[in-house]
Amino acid sequence: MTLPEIMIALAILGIVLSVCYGSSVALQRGFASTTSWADARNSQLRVLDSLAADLRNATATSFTTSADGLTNTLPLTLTIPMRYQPNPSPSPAYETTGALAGDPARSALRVEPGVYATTGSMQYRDSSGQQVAIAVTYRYGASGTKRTIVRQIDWPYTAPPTSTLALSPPLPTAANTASREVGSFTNYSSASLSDPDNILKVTFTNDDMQLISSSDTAVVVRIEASPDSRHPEKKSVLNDTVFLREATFK
Amino acid sequence: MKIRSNSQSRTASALVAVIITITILALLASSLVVNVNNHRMTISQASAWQEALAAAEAGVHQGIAQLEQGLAQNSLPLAGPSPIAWSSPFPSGTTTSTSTRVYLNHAGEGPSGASNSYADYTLTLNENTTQTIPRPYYCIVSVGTVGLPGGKSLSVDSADAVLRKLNLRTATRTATRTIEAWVKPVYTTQGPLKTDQPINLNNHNIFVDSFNSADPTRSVNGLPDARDSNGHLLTNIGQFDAPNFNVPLSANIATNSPFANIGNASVYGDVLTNGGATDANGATVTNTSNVKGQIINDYYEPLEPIYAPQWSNATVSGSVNNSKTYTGGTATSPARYQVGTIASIGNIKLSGGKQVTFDFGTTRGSPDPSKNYIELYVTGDFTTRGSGSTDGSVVIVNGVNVKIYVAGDLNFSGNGLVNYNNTAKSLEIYGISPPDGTTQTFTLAGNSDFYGTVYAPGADLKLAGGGGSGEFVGSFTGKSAFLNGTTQIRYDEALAGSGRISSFKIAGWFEDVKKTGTFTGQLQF
Repeated sequence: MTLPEIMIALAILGIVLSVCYGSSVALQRGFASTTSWADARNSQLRVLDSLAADLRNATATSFTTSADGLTNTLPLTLTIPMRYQPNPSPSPAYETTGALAGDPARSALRVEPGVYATTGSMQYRDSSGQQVAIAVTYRYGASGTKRTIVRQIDWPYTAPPTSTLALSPPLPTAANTASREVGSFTNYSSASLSDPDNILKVTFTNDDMQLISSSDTAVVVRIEASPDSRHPEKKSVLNDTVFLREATFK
Repeated sequence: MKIRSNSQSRTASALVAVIITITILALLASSLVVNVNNHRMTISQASAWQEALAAAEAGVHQGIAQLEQGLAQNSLPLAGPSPIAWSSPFPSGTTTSTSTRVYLNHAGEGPSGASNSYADYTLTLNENTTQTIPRPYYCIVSVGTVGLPGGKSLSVDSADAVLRKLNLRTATRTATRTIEAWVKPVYTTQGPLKTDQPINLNNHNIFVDSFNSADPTRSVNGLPDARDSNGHLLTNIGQFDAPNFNVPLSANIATNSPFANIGNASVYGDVLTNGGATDANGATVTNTSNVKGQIINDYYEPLEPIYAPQWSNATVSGSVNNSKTYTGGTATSPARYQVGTIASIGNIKLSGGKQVTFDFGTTRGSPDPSKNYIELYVTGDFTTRGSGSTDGSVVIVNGVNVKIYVAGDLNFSGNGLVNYNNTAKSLEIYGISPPDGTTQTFTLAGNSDFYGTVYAPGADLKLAGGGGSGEFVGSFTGKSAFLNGTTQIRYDEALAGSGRISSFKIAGWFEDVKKTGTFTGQLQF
């Protein structure tokens, strides 16, 4: 083999290797991008499903108005009838720790409703005859370099049967609380975690795209995330309209 | 210069390089495939989970449909083995302790066919006794199930499993969701005025308000507060905005149509329409300046038809044109009278001082206060005209309760009807729904005050205040409504819960997120 032949062979080899390297890098980028988009979409879908399930059960809602005043956003607090009770009694009605935190405890018993004679509507009471409800709050959180959405529940809120049950702080002394992450999103933008809108943005409007009022029976939920590390301006957007079942019948 | 060639070594190194390259590419590609597949799996499982909710709600709707069919057939499920279910998709009268299953079409991923998406639901009757009159509340617990596509694998994030609680252990992998819905009865007497078609209040002197005959703070000896010549309440009792009586508005008038001309009448309640508009252009709800409540445009409530009674123990007569007295039976065995038959229609037409009287039954020749229930079925028209008597043309003796079913037209004018009970719940008038295309008219325009309820979902209702005050105390339902003159509708809130059940309305909805589903549909109090 002559020297020119070797040089030509090396040149061809170099080209082939550089193509391979380039392809490999591109594949890895594509892989990373696909993974992050898939993860983000899964998280968005999970948050949306979790929100929708709680919104449907809610008898009252309390949204935060966004800084621009055009939409509602997190934190969001929902009033939901307390349909589970401890079993045995001193134990909590809801899981307080672990992956299932905030779900009904495995041993919890049901709370059946009754009819409030004055209005003919359904009412839920504890063993002492007090109306009873839980507060479910969705809020932004942070974990390392990630922005998260946390679902927190607090219980029990009580009121006499003849009163309107309100989630007035503080919680009673027997209060319990539990929270878990329902979605996490990587901070790919240059913005800090204190600026959630660049990483993750959850907004709510009514079906006329206006701020939600107490008489609305449908909520449009919109979740924006930035899953692409190279192009954080490209948003993954998921929308859903949730019809508030329990609130509709009031 | 010559270099010694070693072709065997070169061949081997090229092969290694190729294998390494292919391996790296294969690993990358397989990772990508695994990732995409996991994402696809999550989407599929989430989709099945969503579909399970739709299936569960389909079960709730099917339960309500069964109740409505039970209403139409006068065979609502009774308390029995709990829960109540039917062995066929519609009531057969046989109760079992098993749930009813409905299948849904499933066109998504996974095994296709009806068996892949279904709902199992149970109906449980709870007699609510917390209110004055026991009312049937039904609980529908529905479990929607959808088969999962693909293998046993979960998505990459355990939070998905926590949220959706998929069943991956058995041979048949499924997503299930459980809904508990409560429905409460809606009675024919709920509200002063309800129609399917437009409401027309054709005079600004008309007013519609409410009182409560069972509440001494909201009635005067069980009667609505009287008004002076200017229409003002004499004692300020009953009115929602009267001093010291801050009670909610209850005199709501409602139509299933978008059209309501309120005629600037005073309405002490809301005006509810189905899609009505109040805009300046194309308004369908008009002249609402004296409506004290709100204009609400998302109302709809089906008006169940009334079918002809099928009595085997009625006293049947021909048409009535002369004075006649109907006497009562007991509460458990009311006296039943039928005028005419389907083959030979019978009418009651009174004029020239002729009078129909509803009176007590007798025991050993004397009036018996326990025999005070009368039911009358008129297969044709029921009309009163003219004058000449100090009483009305139709008289109900104090203490007697009357139900009247009319298949034709009803017209109480002239001396009209006098109900000496002075309570609306003592007289129920039902208009039997006419065949499609047949017009039916119910006119109340007598000289005297009217105490009673009218439910005639197929009739055009005309109320016109005649002589004295033109006061109609009770509840009125028709296909359409036209009010004229100085008509006053005074709705008795104590009527709610009496009369017939016209439909069922959802009172509660809850998704049971506990893994095994625990609600049984029993009232706690």
